[in-house]
Formats: sequence, structure tokens, C-alpha cells
Amino acid sequence: MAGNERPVRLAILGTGAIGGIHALAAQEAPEVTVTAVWSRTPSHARDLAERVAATAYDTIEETVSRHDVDAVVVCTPTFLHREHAITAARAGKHVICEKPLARELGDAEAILEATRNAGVRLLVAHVVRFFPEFVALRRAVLDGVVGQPAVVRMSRGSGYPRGRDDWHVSYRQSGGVLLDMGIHDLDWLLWTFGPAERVYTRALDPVSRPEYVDYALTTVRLRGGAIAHIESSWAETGGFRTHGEVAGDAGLLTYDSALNPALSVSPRQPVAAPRIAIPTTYTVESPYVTQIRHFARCIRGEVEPVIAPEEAYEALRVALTALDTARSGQPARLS
Amino acid sequence: MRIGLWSLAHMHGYGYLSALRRREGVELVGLADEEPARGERAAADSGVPFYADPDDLLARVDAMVITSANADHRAMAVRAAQAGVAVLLEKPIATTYADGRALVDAFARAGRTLATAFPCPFSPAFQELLDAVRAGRLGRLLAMRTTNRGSMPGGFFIQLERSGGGAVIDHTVHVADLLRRLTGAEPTRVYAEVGHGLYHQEWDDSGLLSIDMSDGSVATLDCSWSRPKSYPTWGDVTLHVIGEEGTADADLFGQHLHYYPGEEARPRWLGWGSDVDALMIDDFVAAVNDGRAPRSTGEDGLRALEVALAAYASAREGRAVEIDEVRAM
Repeated sequence: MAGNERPVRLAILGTGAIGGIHALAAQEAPEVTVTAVWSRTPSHARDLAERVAATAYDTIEETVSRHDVDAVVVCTPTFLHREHAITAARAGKHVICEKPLARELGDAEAILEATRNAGVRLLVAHVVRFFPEFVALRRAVLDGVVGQPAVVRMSRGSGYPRGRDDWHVSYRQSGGVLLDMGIHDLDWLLWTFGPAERVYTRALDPVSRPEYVDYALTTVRLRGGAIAHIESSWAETGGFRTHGEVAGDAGLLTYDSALNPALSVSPRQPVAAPRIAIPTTYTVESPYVTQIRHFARCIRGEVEPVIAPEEAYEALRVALTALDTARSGQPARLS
Repeated sequence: MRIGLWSLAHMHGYGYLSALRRREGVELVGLADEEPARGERAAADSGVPFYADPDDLLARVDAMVITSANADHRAMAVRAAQAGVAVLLEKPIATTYADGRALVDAFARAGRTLATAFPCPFSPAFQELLDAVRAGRLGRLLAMRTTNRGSMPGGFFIQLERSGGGAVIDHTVHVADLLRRLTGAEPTRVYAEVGHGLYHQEWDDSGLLSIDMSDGSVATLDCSWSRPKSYPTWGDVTLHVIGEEGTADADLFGQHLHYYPGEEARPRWLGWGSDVDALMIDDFVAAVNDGRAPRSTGEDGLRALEVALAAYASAREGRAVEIDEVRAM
């Protein structure tokens, strides 16, 4: 970090799985400190605030208007991002927003506009851009080790997330597995290979699918010429698993988290699975720490963000278009 | 049973030849081949006569294995049917729906057995998966993510007038057939992104198919020739199955040793799984002997071909295509 710079002071909105992860990652990041926590449930806010030596507040307005808050981390359910991000921006605070940026494109546009008008940063936590395996895969592709990319396969799967209030179950609130999980791989795809030309998704019907199972298979044609397949699963019985493969005209790159675990610990007594599975990376710095440190440097004006607001918007646009094709049964062109 | 083999244009012919030679109760009568030098060499290696005129061989056998180029299937198979000879026909059974329909009908008219050379259903792992599905252990099937990736085979496979297409027609039919068996349902519509980015040729080298089944389940298939020359094996057939009550993963050729040669050669996978080619030939021979249907009939071959043809139609037109449309094309 740059010498004697003051840490960026964060308010965490939402104390679910990802809110806790950001708050704890902040403890390992010298560039940031958590000063405020808010949750719909005051006791949850108090619990997390106590763990990270911050103060819990009862209302969002009070939280975001604090003088000891520079940036607000929006970790509430997807459908609330619009309201909470805009409230933070209007209070003049930088916005770090969980992915997906919003539930609807109109919501995302409103967030972009509000942060632009307020002159604050909008930093969307597409954390896969900080996962070393996906950074390495992208680097290798851009270095040309497989030549011109032709066929790409990405996969991300876990059991069904059981967040507070089971909000993931509501398609209207979460957008299901494609919007919540698939967006990671869509963003990585666009980041690595450039714009999408056409998209098509087969997914379980949000109304008739079984309880606590969701699954989507998406095909993307990229303007650069490659074709891509994305599997997004909340139907798995094992832990979190990711897979990536890029075949080009001069070689093949593959990655599978299940085949190359750096560590696995297996207690003889069964341990209850976490309510929401989060991938583990055994690197010196967790990707969530790398991400929050990067965002702090962006806020301090030291570096430009690796993800522009427009890129998060575009990933959302492609994901929502893909969701439409799951219903229509016909592919959609992306203008 | 007297059996012959006709054409070694498809490399699977060599594997079937070796399975036929090992099998008891079968007399390998001889070989015919439109490329005499190739046929004579293989006949000499097998210690059987080469027949310059296929009709001479047809007159001496009860059954014939045909492993010619895809576009030659119709003429050869119909000639065999008319000679009253049962046929095990390499996949895909034809390059057009009309050709496939015509040759299947020719065997129906002749009252002779036509089997499609689909070895995958004989995989013990697939059988076990099928048993688990039928016993309801996965509940209602919802989705299948599948691959049949391979290396670019060369030969007639990349001569469009002889193959009818590239990776899509080569590698769609196996999994299309497995999906029908697994679900007990029929493919109804297909969307495909077909690519040329691996080899930059007029023939397709890659494809990502989305297949809707009549039971409401959905599937995708990667049929790309995306395994480079350095890859340790020819390719794969994998299925990730999502059911209401559970999931399953099958890797039909996953049983292998990892071999790292001492010199600077590529590592290889040495398969030790069951010989599905031999099991398929056993089934064909038993079907002809007993007058019962083989595991994969000509109709099965035709249903699978329809999926590949629908994929090409989808790519041409940039939309999802109903399987019914293919029959009218």
C-alpha cells in the first residue's frame, strides 16, 4: 500500500454469506477498515459488527450518511441492489456492489446513472476476475498459448444455496442459478474473449422445477468467432466445483477444481455442509482480499478498476437475454 | 455364422475385424474394399481372401459389417439387403434423412437384420447408469450435460462429399442415441452453434448442441474435434445427469492407465475397460442367429442421425429446429 494513506472506511449492507466474507476479507486488507454494518435483522448486524470491531446501525440512511464511511459494500439480495446502491450513491459514498449488479436491466441503468451523477465509483464484485486459476487461464489465452480460441467450456456448480429467508428460491428476487452463478462465467467470457454475438439457454423452468434444484446450460457465440458452453448448477451433491476449458487452433487448456485440489481435509465424523458453498483457494491471499484491496486502491485513485461499471452491465444484459431464450426456445442476437 | 467385412474407409473397421477374428462361432469369410490395396493388405493380415467384387462376398455370407465412408452406406447396405445379407452398419447410418430412410426400409422389405454400430450402450458403466435411472434412483431426469469430444480423424471424415459433414455428424449420433436410451424419450428440437475455428476449413470441426427431449428434459452436447494431437487419448464420451433425486456422472472411456513414456513422447492413456466393440459384435451375431432385434436397430441409427441433421439445419438458419422438420428436408 502507498505509505501513510488512510484506510478506506467501509459500511457493509447485508450480513448474509457474502456480507460476512467481505467483512472478514477486509480484516486482512491493510487498505480498508470496516466501520459500519447494517442488516434487515438488527441482531445479525450486531453479531457481524462485533466480529470486525465495527458499529451496527438500524437504518440504511444512518449507515450510509456516516462521516466515518467512505464506501458502501452492497451485499443484500440481488433485487435490493438498486435501492441500496442508489441510497449510498446519493449520500456521496462509493459503491462496491455484489454481483449480479441488479435483477433487471432498468435497475442496473439506474445504479450506473446514480453513481455517475454523484461522482462516486461503482465497483462490481465479479470476484472470479480475482481468482488466480481464472486469471491464469485468461492470461494463457491472451498470451496465445492455444492460438486462436475456438471452443470454450466453463462450469460452476454447487448444492442449492440456502440463504436467509431462502431468497434464492424466488426467481423474481434472484434470477436463479444463471443470474447468480452463470454471471461469473459470462463475465469471465466477455472479459477474456470480447463481446457476445448470440446466446441460447436451456434451463429448468422456474415454476415447475423441483424445490432446491436449479440448472442452466448456456451456449454463446462470441463476435471473435469462438463458441462457448456454460454450465451453471445448483443441482450438485458434492462441494463447489469449477471447470474451464479453452480449445484453440494451436492447443488446449483445461482446468478442473476437482482434479487438482491443493488440499482436502476429511474429518472422520461427517460435518454439515455450509448453507452457501463458497470456493476455497489455497493461495497466500484469498481472492476476496485481493478484490477488496484492489477496490480500495481504485477509490483512492491509485489504479483504474479491472471491471468497469459498463462491463458488469454487459454481463447482466447477456445473462438476462439468455434467461429470455430459456423461455422463448429461440436464440437471441446481442446488438 | 459366415460373416464378411466391406470397406475399411472407417478406422473402426480394423477394430471390428480383430473382434471378429477372436470370436468363436463366427467364420470370417473375407473382405471387400473399394480401395483394393487397402483391402488386400487387411485381408492378408487377417489370413482371409480379398474379394474384388463385393457381390462374390455377399453371395458367401450370412452377415456383413460395413465400415465405409458415410455417403457410401446407402448403396452398399441396400445391395447387401437385396442379397439377403444382414448388416452391422457403421454410424452415422447415412448423410441425409432420405438415404437413411431408404436403407432402413430396404432391410424391412428384405426381412433382414440391420444393426447400427453404436458400441456405447454396451459400456457396463452406461448399463449401470441406465439401471439406476430405471430403478428411479435419480428420480425424474431434468438435464444432461454431455460430451463426445475427439481428435480430428482426417481421411474421408474431412471430405464433405463422402462424410456429409465434419465433427457434428461424426460425434453427435453416439450421444443422441444414449440420451434416447437414458430418458426413454425422443429428441424434439435442436439448437446448435457449429464452428470452424480449430482447423479453419470448409468442414465443421466443432459444435455445441442443445437438445430438448419429449419428456421435458434438456441436454447439451459438445461434439467438437477439440482434442489436439498431443492429447493422451482419442477423446471421450461423458454424461453429467441431473435428476430430481440425485446426479450421476459417466465417463464411458474413463477406465485407463496413465502412461508416461521414458523418451520425449506424449503421455498416453491406456484403456483397460471392457471391449465394447466385441460386446456389440456379440449382440449383432446373436441377434442374427436368434432372429431378434439387435441392441441398436437401423431405426435407432436414423433417430440419432436426425439430431445431427437438425444441428446443421439449426446452424444454417440460426434458430432452434424441430426434429420433424428434418424429415421433410
